[in-house]
Amino acid sequence: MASTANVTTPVPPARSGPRLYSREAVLVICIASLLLMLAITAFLNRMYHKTVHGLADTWAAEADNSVKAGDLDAAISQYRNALAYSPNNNVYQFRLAQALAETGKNDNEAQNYLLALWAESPGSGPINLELARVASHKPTGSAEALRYYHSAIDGEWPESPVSRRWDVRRELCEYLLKSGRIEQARVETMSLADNTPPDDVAHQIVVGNLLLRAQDWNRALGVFRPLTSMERPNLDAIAGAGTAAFNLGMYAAARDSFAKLPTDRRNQPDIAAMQAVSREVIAADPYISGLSARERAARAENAVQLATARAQACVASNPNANAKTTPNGPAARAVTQLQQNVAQFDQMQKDWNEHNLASFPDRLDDAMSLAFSTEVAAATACGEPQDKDRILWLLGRTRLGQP
Amino acid sequence: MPQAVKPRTGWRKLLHEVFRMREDRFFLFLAVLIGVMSGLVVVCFRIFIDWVQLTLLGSSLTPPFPRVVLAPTLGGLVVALLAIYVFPHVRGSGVNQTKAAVYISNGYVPFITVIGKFVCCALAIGSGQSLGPEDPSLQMGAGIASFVGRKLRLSTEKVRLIAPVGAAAGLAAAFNAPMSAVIFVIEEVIGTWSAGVLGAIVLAAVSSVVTMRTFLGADALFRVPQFRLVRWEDMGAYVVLGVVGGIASLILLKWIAWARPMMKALPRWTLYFQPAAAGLIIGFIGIKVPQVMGAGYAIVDQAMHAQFAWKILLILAGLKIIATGVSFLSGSPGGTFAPTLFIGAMLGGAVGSIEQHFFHNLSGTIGTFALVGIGTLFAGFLRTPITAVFMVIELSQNYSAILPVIVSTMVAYTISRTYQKVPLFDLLARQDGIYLPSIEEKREMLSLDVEDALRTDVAIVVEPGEKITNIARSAEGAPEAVLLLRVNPGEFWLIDREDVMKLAPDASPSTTAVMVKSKGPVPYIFRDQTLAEALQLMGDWQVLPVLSREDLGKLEGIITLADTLKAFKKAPPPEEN
Repeated sequence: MASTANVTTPVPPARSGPRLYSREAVLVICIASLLLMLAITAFLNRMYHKTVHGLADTWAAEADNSVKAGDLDAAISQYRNALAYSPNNNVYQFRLAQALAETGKNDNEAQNYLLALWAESPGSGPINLELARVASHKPTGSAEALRYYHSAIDGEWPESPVSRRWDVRRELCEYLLKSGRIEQARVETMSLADNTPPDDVAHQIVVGNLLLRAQDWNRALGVFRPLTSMERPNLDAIAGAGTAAFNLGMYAAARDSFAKLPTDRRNQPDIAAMQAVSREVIAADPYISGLSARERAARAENAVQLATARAQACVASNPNANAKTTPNGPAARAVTQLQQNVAQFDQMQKDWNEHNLASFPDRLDDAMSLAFSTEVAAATACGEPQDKDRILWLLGRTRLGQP
Repeated sequence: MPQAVKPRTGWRKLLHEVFRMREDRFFLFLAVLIGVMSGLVVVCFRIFIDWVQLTLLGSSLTPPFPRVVLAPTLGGLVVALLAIYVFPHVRGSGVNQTKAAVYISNGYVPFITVIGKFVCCALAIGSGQSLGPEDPSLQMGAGIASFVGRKLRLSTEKVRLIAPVGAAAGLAAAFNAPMSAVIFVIEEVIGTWSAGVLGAIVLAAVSSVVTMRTFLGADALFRVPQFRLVRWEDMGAYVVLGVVGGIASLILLKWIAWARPMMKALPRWTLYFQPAAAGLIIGFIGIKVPQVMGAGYAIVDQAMHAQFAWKILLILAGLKIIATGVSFLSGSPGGTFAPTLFIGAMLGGAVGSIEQHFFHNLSGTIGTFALVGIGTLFAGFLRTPITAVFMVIELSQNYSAILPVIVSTMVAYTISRTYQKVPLFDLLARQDGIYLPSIEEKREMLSLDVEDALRTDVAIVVEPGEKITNIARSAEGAPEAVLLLRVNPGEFWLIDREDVMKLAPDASPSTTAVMVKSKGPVPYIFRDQTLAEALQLMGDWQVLPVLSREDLGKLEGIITLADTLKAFKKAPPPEEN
């Protein structure tokens, strides 16, 4: 048998004869040994902690460098090494959690570190922010994310609290917009706007752009407009004002804003498209001031022809849809309305000639009103219009107060 | 010529006062002294392990290739040489060696073993063997206690008792968990809640933990993430964990039970190479999975923070079982506590991850499952369920986990107990050819109570003023009856039946029972006491009155020596393992 059992130990025979040491002496030796052991342990412990903390600091410094270099995977591994030597170091835990959250590879681990830190300081802004970021990665974490974002906004920030809170609210707005919760984003962006000083142009532009993304065109215009009338207007503000005006159906204002932009900016696809549409809408609008009666009539007649053709095409493509078969369907109702409009166009065809429209402004109003309602109904029944129909439809929406 | 006795002065007087204490009080004082000493030794031991690890494996959690293989292999070689030539008693389980010291060697643990465990275990664990420092810490504590007790010439009984006191101190410092250490020593080493030693064990454990915390800090062994148990339905998830933990415990237990005798049967020359071979295997595993090397506390901590996906956790658990088995079977000195915690945490994390994948509403985090897994495997593998529950609470410093831990540990314990009758420590001892008392058997053995031998129909209670003729009349109709004279509540005397029968025909009408009482007062007993206690009380009496606890004047029956022996004979024998 190879490995003999070493469980039992032979007991040495009891000493006979006089005692070598008295109990007192042994106890003194014990206490002296204890003191010696204390001293040795204290010395070793000091050396040990020095070494271990040194190692932790070294690993953490390397990790910080890796973060700066953008190598987050290396940083994570180095922070873990640092934590092995200084497991309760909150700074390392937080930085590891930050790195993990940023890579998004192991949100659970990041969350666990952050929750442990959060338990110690639930009012910490940075910890709540990281928790919000981790929660925002989860498909079902939106409520949690919102809670942490708000806690971060209300939380304590060691440095520049006002600016950090502004940044967090902005991040919250971005998160809401990305997740498609426009209404909530609008509310948060309004709070952000309230907390942005009027003279802080850079932040005002950020707010304005967020309002644009939240489709709060009025407020966006309200934010951009003062910035465009400054001594040195900001190009982003001009573009933003133009975009807001465009979406509000203020095509002339939009055109004017875009016209102030330098050529390269104006040629950006989105701005160029809005500019073109604005021009076309203005060109098709019979109500623009300064037009001659004849020009007005020509535009109105053109609108009537476009609307009639659109209505006929739309009705033809929906032969079975009508309000009798599907009375509650908006498309069916729209088709019915289009059928009535087509009939009315036929009836008024002779009456709504260029001469009459130029001579009788009330007839022009009736004709344009029918053209607008036709485009709106056709959009409902057959989808958004294209080309010139789209221009007329946009014009109609503006006139009907539906920008 | 007789020498004049010098009066004691100064420190001698003080020490004399200390020694004038009753031995049991002096024992408590010693417990504190031993606790502090054990705490200091454990602090140095942990520092030494870390120093060895830093030197041999470097400071990264993922050591580079040549080191990862060379360190455990060469470390194993050195440990083998030390174990063969310098510290021959260093191999084997510290728990069993301490138990053997208590039950066989009158508490004798050689001091060289303390040094040997310190050096060899630090080398083995620091170089990457998959073993833990708790078991050796326990034995080092016992060794220190035994050494101090012997040098102070304590009585044999006290020296026998002082080894577990030191064991508790060592384990408490290693785990930073005094309560668990106390319970473990009671549950596994002593096996009984003896009031005589409990105070000393608690004092030693507390003083050692205080000492350890002074130097290494008061932080728990693992940083457990926040969690709370929300719904009772979640308990099902922990039952599953209990089943998995029970099966994993069985795998490890069965493997050790099967492979250890084969390892012991290998030729003696292989002893030189067994730890090195184990180191080589672990080194090769460590190239890809360095997490399985060493005690692995940092990895458990990472698992609790959900660093690993469930597949990785399962791989880590499986490889750790292999690495631990290999290290343990090679005879490398070190304990199995830390690897048990590691495997449990990984399995817990894996089971939690899988369950959460299917049931999104489970309220526990991965960390909760890892923590509960620790307790589960501890209960299943080491078969100390109460220690497991308390350990988890102490490690997490959070009471919320108690319900899941109780459920899971009990399931694992039951599975392990059902399919592996002999617990680990008893198994190891029996493989080594010694038969230490099985604490588990002791704990589960049904004790016989007075009730099992109680007879309610054979006693005749007689009042002091009762006439002897009346007594004789009563006794005549009941030939087996025992006559008991109730002098006062709780004071019963025996009356000799033959005396009564003899005296009755000629007795005057004024002759009363008190005049014929023969022996007494007879010691009494209550029906809920054990028959062992009854035998102790019975002495030469042959019969004991069984009284009511609410009225000592009320006799509930009697027990006789014959009935007691009959009850023992009828009782089923303890289960054969």
